[in-house]
Amino acid sequence: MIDNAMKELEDWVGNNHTELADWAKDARSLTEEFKAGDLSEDEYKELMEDLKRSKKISDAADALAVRSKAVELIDNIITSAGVIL
Amino acid sequence: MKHLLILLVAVMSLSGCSTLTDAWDYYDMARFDNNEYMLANKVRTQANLGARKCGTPEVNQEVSRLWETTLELKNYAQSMEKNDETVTMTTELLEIVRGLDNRYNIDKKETSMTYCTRKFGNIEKNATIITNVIGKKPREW
Repeated sequence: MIDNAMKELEDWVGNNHTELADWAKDARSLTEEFKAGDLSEDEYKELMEDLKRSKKISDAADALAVRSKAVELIDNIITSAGVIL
Repeated sequence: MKHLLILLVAVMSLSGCSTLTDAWDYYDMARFDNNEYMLANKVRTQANLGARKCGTPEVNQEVSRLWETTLELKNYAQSMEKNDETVTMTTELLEIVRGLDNRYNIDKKETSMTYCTRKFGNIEKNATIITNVIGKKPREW
């Protein structure tokens, strides 16, 4: 029940920064550039680490987007009901 | 009505809880803040402009500016209460920028053009995500 509700809220809000950013695709192209000699080994390692950090940023962004939407809707409900907290 | 029910159940579960106090904590979040939004947008813009300086001597100065603004953004986000998600995002972004600053201004390592454009590109992409999501924070009453 709770899992379904969460999924529905996420779908409804329609945010998925991780998917939109496509960090996996970036990782593949970085590997190709490293193999082609366009990046040194330490540059490549650093950029791959950055992608892990980017994934964390996207996850936090998704969580914030869902929370913001939920809070905004509650605000609207409270306002509509004419209740002052 | 269906959306309202979904919302109420989701808010309770998102806070990992079942108590009203936890639900209140989830609701009680840092609201939209002009300064926070402005700093995030500034990081995005500086990353965009910095990429244009890759391969030129001016890039070091661009990196310093970017480091300073990102640090300011992280510190500002941390100074606000109930701002956990933004603190996570800005802390991770600062670590990404730290690598760039270390390479150009601390270690002064030899740096490839690909690294430079990739790094600025990644920072800009993340800063865009952060700017967009911060811009959608609920407004104050």
